[in-house]
This record gives sequence, C-alpha cells and structure tokens, in this order.
Amino acid sequence: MGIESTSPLAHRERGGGEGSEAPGFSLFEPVDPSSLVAYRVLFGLLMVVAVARFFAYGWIHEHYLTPRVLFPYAGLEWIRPWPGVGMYLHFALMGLGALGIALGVAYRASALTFLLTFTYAHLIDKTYYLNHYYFISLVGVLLVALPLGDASARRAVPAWWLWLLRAQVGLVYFFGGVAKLKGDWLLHAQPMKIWLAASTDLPVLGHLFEQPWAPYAFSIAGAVFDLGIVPALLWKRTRPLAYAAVVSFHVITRMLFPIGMFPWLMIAGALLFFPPDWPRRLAIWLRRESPRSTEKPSPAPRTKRAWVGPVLAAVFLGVQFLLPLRHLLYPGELLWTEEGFRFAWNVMLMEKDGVAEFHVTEPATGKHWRVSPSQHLTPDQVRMMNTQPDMLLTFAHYLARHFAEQGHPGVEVRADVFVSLNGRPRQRLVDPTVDLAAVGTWDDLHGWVLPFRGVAPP
Amino acid sequence: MSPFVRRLIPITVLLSLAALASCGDSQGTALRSAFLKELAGDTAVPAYRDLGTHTETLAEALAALEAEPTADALTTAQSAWRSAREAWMRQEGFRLGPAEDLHTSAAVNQVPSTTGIDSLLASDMPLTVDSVAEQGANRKGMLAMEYLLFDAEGGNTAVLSRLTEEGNAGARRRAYLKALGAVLHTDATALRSAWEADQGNYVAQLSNAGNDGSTYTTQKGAVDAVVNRLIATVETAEKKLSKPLGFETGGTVRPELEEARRSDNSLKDLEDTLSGLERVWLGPSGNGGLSKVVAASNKQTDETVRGDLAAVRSALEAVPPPLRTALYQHRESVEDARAALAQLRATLASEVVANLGVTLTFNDNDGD
Repeated sequence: MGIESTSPLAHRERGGGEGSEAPGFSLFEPVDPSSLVAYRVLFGLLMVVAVARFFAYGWIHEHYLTPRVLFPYAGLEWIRPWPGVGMYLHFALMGLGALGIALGVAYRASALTFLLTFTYAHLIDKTYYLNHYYFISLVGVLLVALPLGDASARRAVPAWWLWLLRAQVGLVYFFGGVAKLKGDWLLHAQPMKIWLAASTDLPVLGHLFEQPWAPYAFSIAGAVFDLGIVPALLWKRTRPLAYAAVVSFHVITRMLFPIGMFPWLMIAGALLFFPPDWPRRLAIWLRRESPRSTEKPSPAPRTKRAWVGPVLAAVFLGVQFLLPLRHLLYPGELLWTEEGFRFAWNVMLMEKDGVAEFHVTEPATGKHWRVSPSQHLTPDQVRMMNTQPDMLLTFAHYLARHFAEQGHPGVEVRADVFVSLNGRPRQRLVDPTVDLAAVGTWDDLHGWVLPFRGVAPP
Repeated sequence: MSPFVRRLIPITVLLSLAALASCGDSQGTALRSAFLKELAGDTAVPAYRDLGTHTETLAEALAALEAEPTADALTTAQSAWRSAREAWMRQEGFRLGPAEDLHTSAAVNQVPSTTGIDSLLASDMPLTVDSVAEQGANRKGMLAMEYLLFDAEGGNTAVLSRLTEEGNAGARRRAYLKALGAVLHTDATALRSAWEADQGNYVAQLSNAGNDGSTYTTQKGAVDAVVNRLIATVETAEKKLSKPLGFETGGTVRPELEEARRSDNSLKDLEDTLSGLERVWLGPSGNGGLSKVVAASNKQTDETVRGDLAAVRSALEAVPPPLRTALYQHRESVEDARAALAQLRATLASEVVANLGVTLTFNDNDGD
C-alpha cells in the first residue's frame, strides 16, 4: 500500500503520545490525516476489486439483465436497470469512481460517482441486499462529505473526521452484537450449531466445531466480540490483541461463509482505531529512518461554522443509531416477519429456509392456476423471496399484473409458504386464505403474515 | 518469566488443544464421508451399470425389430424400453456430475418434437447411428423411441402397421429406432465409464469430497449438491402431475402434457424416481443414506422425510393406472399424489436445508 507523504506532525501525534486517545480530546483537535488517507486508499482498492468481481463472475448480467421481475424497495420502484449495455457502463463508471477514490484523483467527483452508482445498483432489487453493501454506501457518503482527497497535503485534520469514520465502523460491530442478544443465539446456539456441523471437515478448526460446547462458545464469543471489539480497539493496551481478533474472526467467517468483500472491509476499517499516524510511522520504519520530532499544529480557531460538520455527522450517526432499533416499534418476531430487518446490521444471524407456491384464481370464470415462483424468477430471487414477507407480497402483485396482461384481470392471489427458522419444523409464514393481490404495499403485514410459533430450535 | 513468554502460554495451550482435537475424523465428517462413499459406490455406480446393461438389451431388441418387425419383436423391444426407462428414472434423484457434464440428461429424456421426427422420417437423410447422434435432443432419446414404439390408443397393431408400412416408410422407422437404441447405449456407456473407478472415476470425486483432487472442495459442497438435486427431482416429479392436471393452464386437464403418455408409463416413471430418492435418503440397505447424517443432529427431521417418502409412495400407488384416464376419472387421487410430492419438497427445501446448513444458491454469489 502506498502511503502518501504529508508534512510531519508533533511527536505526540506520531509516536508514544496517543493524541486522539488522551483524556479531554476535542472534536477539533488536529490529528495526523495519514490513517484516514490509508483508509481511503484501502477502501478504494477494495471497491475496485468488488466491481471487478461483478464483471468476472457475470453478476451484472445475472442480477440486472436476467430477471424478468424485480423486487424494488417501496417508493423506489423508479430505480431500474439501464437497458442494453447500460448496466455494464454503470459498473465501469463505478469502478472508475473507486479507482479515483484510491488514487485521490478528481477525488470528490470520483467519490460522488462511486456513491451514486453503487447505491443505485444495489437499490434495484432487494434480492441482493447485503449488510456490507449498506455499509459501503454509508462510507461512500462520508468519503464524499470529508475532503480526504487532499488530506495527504494537510498537516492535520480535525479529530472528528477520524471519529466519524471510527463510529461508522463501530456501529456495525455494536449493532451486530446487539442483534445477537437473542434466545436462539445465546441459549440454543442456533444457527451456529447448524453452520459448524456443516463444516466439520475444515482443517484443524473442523474438529473443534464438532465439540458439543463449540457452538455455544462460538455464539457467545461472537456476541462478546461484536459488543466488545470497539472498546478493545480503542484501548491502547488491548488494541494489538483486539486487532488480531478482528483478523482471526473475519478470516474464520470467510472460511465458513461466502461473504465476499465484507471481511476485508472490516479488517481495513479496524485500522482506523490505531493512532492516526500509524501509516506514517510504518513508512518511517520501512525506510529505516529515525523519527523526527516536529511541532504540533495549533487547533483551528472555533467558529460557529466549524460546528456544521460535527452537527451533520451527529445527525447522520443518530439516524443510523435509530434505524436498527425501529423493529421495536413493530409487533412479532423480527426474524420471522423481517419487519425492520434490513439496514439494521442483522449480520449472519439466522438459518431461514422456505418454499413457496402461489395459487391464482379468476373468480369470474372459476379458472385456477398454481404458480411455482421459479417459472418467473431467478434461483437467487426464489431463495430470497421464499422467506421474506415483503418480497412475497411484491411477487403476488406481479402475478396479478401478469395474469391481467394475459387476459385474466381481477385475479386473486394466495400463497402456500412454509419456512423453517434455525432448524425448527417448518411453519406457515403467510395466511393461505388472504388474497395478497388485494393487500397494499404499505398495509400492516400482520393481517396476512402468520405469527411465529416459538418452539425451541434443535 | 518475561511478559512475552507469559503471553505465549495461553496461545500455546490453545494451539495444543486444537492440535489434540484435530486427531482423527470427527463424527460429522465420518458420517458425511460414509454417506458420500455409499451414494457414489453402492448407489450411483450400480445404477449406471444397470442403465448400461438395460440400454444394451434395448439396442439389441431394436436391432432385432429392425431386422424382423414381428409382434413378438415389438413386445420384446417395448419391454426392454421399459426396463431401460426404469434404470434411467431411478438415477434422477442423484443425477450429479457426468450426466450434466456430458449433457446425457438432455439427450436421453427430452420431450420429443413429433413434427421434427416425422419430417426426419419423411426426408432422404440416411438414418445411421452417426447421423442420428447429431440430431437435436428433441429427436432422440427415450421419448423419441416411445413415440415410435408405443401407441396408447391404437395399440401394438397400429405401431406394427407403421413399422411395416410399405415402401421406404416402415424401413426408415425401424432404422431410426435401431439407430436411436445404439445412440442411447453409447450415451449410457459414456456415463457409466465416467463413474467407474478404473475409467473416469467420478466415484472418487464424490466419495472423497473435501480432499485434494475432488471437484468438491468441501464435504458440505457435495452434500449441498446432493440435497439440491433431491429438491430439483421432486419439483420435476411434481410438475409431471401438475402440467397434465392443468395447474399451470387454468385448471383444464391437459392430457397432451403427460410425459410418457404413449407408453402409459408415467406413473411407473414417478414410482421409479421415488425409488431413487429413497435410495439417497435411506441408502441401498435401507439403513444408511442421508437419513443417518440428518438424524445425527435432528431425528425429527429425518422422521418427517421418511414419512413424506412413504406418503408419496402410498399416494402414487393409490392412483388407478393409467394416468391419462385417472386424470379424468380419479382426478382427486392424482391431485393427492401431487400434494404428497409438494409436501416432500417443502420438507426438503425448508427443514432439511435448514438443518444441514445447505446453500440453496445456484451460483457463488456473496452472502451477508
């Protein structure tokens, strides 16, 4: 990784002095920008790889051009794939944006291009919602907002820039941990039992996975890790061990699950918790130079205008703090209804599998059809839709439109949907008597999603 | 003791424990390994040998029919066709690897284009093994043979009359059948060779999943493939009843959508497919299979699948054959059989998938 050169900072910022961690730090305290620059470069490079994977694995065609039906977010139905080669150009532009972020070339335009293209692409279809895509969009917002393109030319940046990015990374872990504070996870070690049992042939670790205590230990360790890693990274004495834990945790999860770029994103993000001058010290060490002591820059004079950034940052984080808690407003089991599940850091939390079949009837003629979703959807869409009520409703609406286009207006659409949550015997997810074509997108889902019967998982 | 050494102690203890725990195969690994070995060696290989033998007999019977188109020769050929078909249907539940790689499935069991076959017969093209092998999948395979060998309404008299039609027509029909038999046998032999240990050795690919040299880099990958195949097979079986029932076309019975309607073999096809599924779940001895792997973690799920398999068998046996008449006269029994298959699919796609941690993805797309 190339570290861009900046003018040296005070020894306190660079070496033994942990400026940003000292008691009584100020949001405006000048800190070395080099860790922010390093993060920008790492993030940009990881995104270049992420975009390249879309081309290499044929996902652009598979996700955007193959589907006949889309599962848009409510109110965002206008976000659709571009025709022809449009999506390929879209991703090429995204890749250029990511490269611009990494190189610091036309930085703001690059960051904005990346943010808009990435977010647009991933709002097209709920099927492909991933927590780390959400994280990438949020970091994209911060990269656009913070002028990190020329940060390497600055002697110092205000501390709140660094803390904002640290908070962004920290929120993922914190709410990831809060989400694990559930009976299934902590008391029944589910779905960890299922996941570990499926991978007992992994070298060395596989044998540990089979010990009866292992799923419990991994579940509790996972929750403790998520909840405790941010304080451990912030505290100087535990930081090296905590970072080693971050690397180990994400490497193990990468071995167990196909989670793409997520582990590398978080391993890169955790570097933000090291003293802000770590890249500079690393560069000095690599060049075998001796540390130079320089004068610490004075904090910029406080003006009312200087508070605009921190206030906006607080609002940005505040919204993110509330979003994962919105499910508390909704009745029912979150993992069952999935109301308030997305954009809430419910990361790798459950094993939920199901099967769905739709019944279409035309009251005027008495004709009836049974529709297997695979006749209309891609395998990915079928798999995701089968367990997610809002997607099931979208598909029911699509069927009503489809049959109307085929000369059968006014059909009723019902569904047989069976779902197993964390290894439990399957239950009906949807009331089979309700005409889903008549249920509105914004209607209360408790009128047609059946309540979860909370039997203990295996 | 220096602080550095003190810090090393817990790490060393942990690594030692890990090393200790890594001795020998774990129970889960051993169970999956035994299942995959049994599926490959004791279920799949014998099934493909059986298919090879029966397609050879069929090819010989069709050659005899070509040489001497008598009623006996026709009956023998029809009987050989049913045996070969049984062998094919029994492997549907574990049709992994070579059958897909060699495109055997498409070549063997594609819905035929009767107009395509008729125009081929009416043409001057020589009907040799090579020329027929080059035809599209909808002009060859078992269902193309069925079109020429059976007539559910006219019976064998009508079939024999077409096979012995004066002029070139009857002779071309027989030559086509003979070539179809030879092509099918070649395809089945290639499939068998791909599995045999001393040839393509796919048996080792599946048996040794998770080890060096196997297509399956993990045992989970192989188990995932097996479960996905089971689900796909049940879904296909379900459609073989849904389509003629008219479930996809407004509820009106569509007899022309019954797959093996000319031979009245559709119900037998489904029973043979079910036998293959039972082999995967219960093993050839009835006391192994995937059942053992699932029961080790969740006995209830295993019992549910066993119950569903038994229910499908009962429901299929309760349909008075042939299917083409049952569709009208005993529609409820056909719907019950279809519902039993749907029940089995629901169990597999929800509870079995959940308990084995199977990835139902059909690609390598990222997860969370």
